[in-house]
Amino acid sequence: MLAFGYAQAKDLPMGIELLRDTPAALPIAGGTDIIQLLQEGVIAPSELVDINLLPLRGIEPAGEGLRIGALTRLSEIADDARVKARFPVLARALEETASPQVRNMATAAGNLLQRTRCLYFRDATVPCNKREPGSGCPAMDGENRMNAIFGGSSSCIAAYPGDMANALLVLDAELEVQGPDGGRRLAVADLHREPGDTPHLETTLRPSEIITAIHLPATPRSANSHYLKLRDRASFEWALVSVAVALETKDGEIRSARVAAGAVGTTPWRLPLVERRLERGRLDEAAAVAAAEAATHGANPRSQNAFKVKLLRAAVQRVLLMAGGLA
Amino acid sequence: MSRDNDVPAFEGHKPQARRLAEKALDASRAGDDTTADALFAEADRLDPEAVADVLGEDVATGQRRTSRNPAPDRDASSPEQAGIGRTAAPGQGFRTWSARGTAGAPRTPPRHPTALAIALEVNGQTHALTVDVRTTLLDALRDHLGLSGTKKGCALGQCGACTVLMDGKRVNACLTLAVMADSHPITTIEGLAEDGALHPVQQAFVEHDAFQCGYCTSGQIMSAVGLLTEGRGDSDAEIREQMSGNLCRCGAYANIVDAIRAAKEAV
Ligand SMILES: Cc1cc2nc3c(=O)[nH]c(=O)nc-3n(C[C@H](O)[C@H](O)[C@H](O)COP(=O)(O)OP(=O)(O)OC[C@H]3O[C@@H](n4cnc5c(N)ncnc54)[C@H](O)[C@@H]3O)c2cc1C
Ligand code: FES
Ligand code: FES
Repeated sequence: MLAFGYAQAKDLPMGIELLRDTPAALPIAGGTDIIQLLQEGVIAPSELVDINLLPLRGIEPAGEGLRIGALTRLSEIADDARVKARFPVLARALEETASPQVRNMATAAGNLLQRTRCLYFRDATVPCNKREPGSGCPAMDGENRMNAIFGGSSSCIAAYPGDMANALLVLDAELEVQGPDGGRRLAVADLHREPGDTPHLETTLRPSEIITAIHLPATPRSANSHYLKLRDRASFEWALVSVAVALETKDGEIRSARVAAGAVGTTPWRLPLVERRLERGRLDEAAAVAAAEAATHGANPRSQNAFKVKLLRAAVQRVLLMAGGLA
Repeated sequence: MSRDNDVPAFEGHKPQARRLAEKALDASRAGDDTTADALFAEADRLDPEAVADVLGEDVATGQRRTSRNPAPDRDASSPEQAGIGRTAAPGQGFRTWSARGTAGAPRTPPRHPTALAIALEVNGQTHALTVDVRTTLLDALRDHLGLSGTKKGCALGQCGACTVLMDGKRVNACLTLAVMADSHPITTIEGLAEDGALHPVQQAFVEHDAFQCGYCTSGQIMSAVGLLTEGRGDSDAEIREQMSGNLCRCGAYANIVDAIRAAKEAV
């Protein structure tokens, strides 16, 4: 681990200023991803700017919805009675994230910005276009069981590994961001970038910007929302495939649907065809099967991850049956 | 090498896959799933990336999917202008594989302190110490304060051997910087017993023989104390789920669950 400087931001303007002063600086929140990356020699920031003193922790009502401060811990969100009742997909995704210890430390914003689990990215002794642009991608023909089947490019097929972002996609959540040029709103759907030929650029955040909050609008779908995570062991593991769904139903008919999948795309991945199929009928077993069939068009599996194609269809079908009270 | 400029580059099956995917999308919009699936399947065989492109554009026009095509103001004009946590400029923020063995990638030297004087409040006692800011809370406890009851397994948050309570909550000491623990009350395994009497969870671990080699045990106990404080663990299944952050290489899990159930009944 290379030496870095440590500075504590006392307020938001100071945090932004500290980041602007030192271009190779990173904000540190819970530290649970950054410290892994430092230990493995994957990153070497010149400074860490500790943002934990900023007043960005807590969950408060915002209109009909909720505003979650960027520094709110995952366990605090998962345990919140309002989140459980009105945004169950989010509570569930977080209950299934990491371990109780990590959930007590990890923050909402840090979770969205966690970096890929691709074995080659996390191993600083091998090439990786994400770590070192132009060095190559051994995952293409190597150990790619955990890699993406959607959104890859010839430079990078690293999967986005997180759980919370998938839930936020189906909840139409937005971020509040503050930077040197003031504040702005950013849809969670616009946060992550597909790799293209610049896989080292992972988000649309601008230099020195700090995420300050997540907004959960109340939609006719949010209370009827579900999360299913499939993994190699029963608990404390990243997903092989996960699916978030939010449905608006009236008199047994689906009025509108949001479906997103995790661990299959290079970003959290919306499934618009599945949504469209759902939006025209009742939710029964046949409808779930037909909708799931549409989940994998455009999938581009590699040597070791073709199983994700089948698993994704099965997961979509299963979570829809759960949503319909049929499983 | 004088190829005429008006000969289009060979694009493989992309154009045809695109056409099929667009037709499939039309069928899907019209509600004809059977036709849509057949056309998509054919397009997938030819070029799945083209299919993904068409589907991505579909979302972009109506409902957003991802920032496959970020709006201009969000786009990065150069790698230095954007990136994850604004660190992505090659060689600036990241140590790189090619830099190994060389002097390291060009990178501004740290401007802020690389060592700091801090006060750690451990088991009710305040310790003043000066640490390199890279020091984890785990290393500070073990190597600076001599509290070796907290164990190091993986140093990556994956095993739970380093579990301590910080502000009363269970955390991984290996994923916390000592400077970030400054002034936050910390409890380690050494701080559980009171007046020579074991904590009920410690007592239950002894009574239920909830360990073999003992390496994971202080982490298991600290995690179990956290679990009880959180008011969780109403069933064996919940105890297992809520203890998932603590691995035991010896496989003493059955007795660990027994001990925690007993401790819960006792307190
Ligand atoms: C053993 C283990 C298992 C895990 N399993 C899962 C899992 O199953 N599912 C899952 O989704 N995740 C999992 N994780 C990942 C974990 O959820 C993330 O590490 C965590 O959420 C990151 O949050 P943090 O606050 O600790 O971020 P940090 O490590 O502090 O920061 C992460 C990134 O976010 C940036 N950042 C943080 N806050 C802000 C902000 N406010 N504004 C701008 N940038 C910011 C940092 O600069 C950094 O780039 C696991 C982690 C571990 C250690
Ligand atoms: S040493 Fe901290 S979790 Fe393994
Ligand atoms: S008792 Fe040996 S690792 Fe748990």
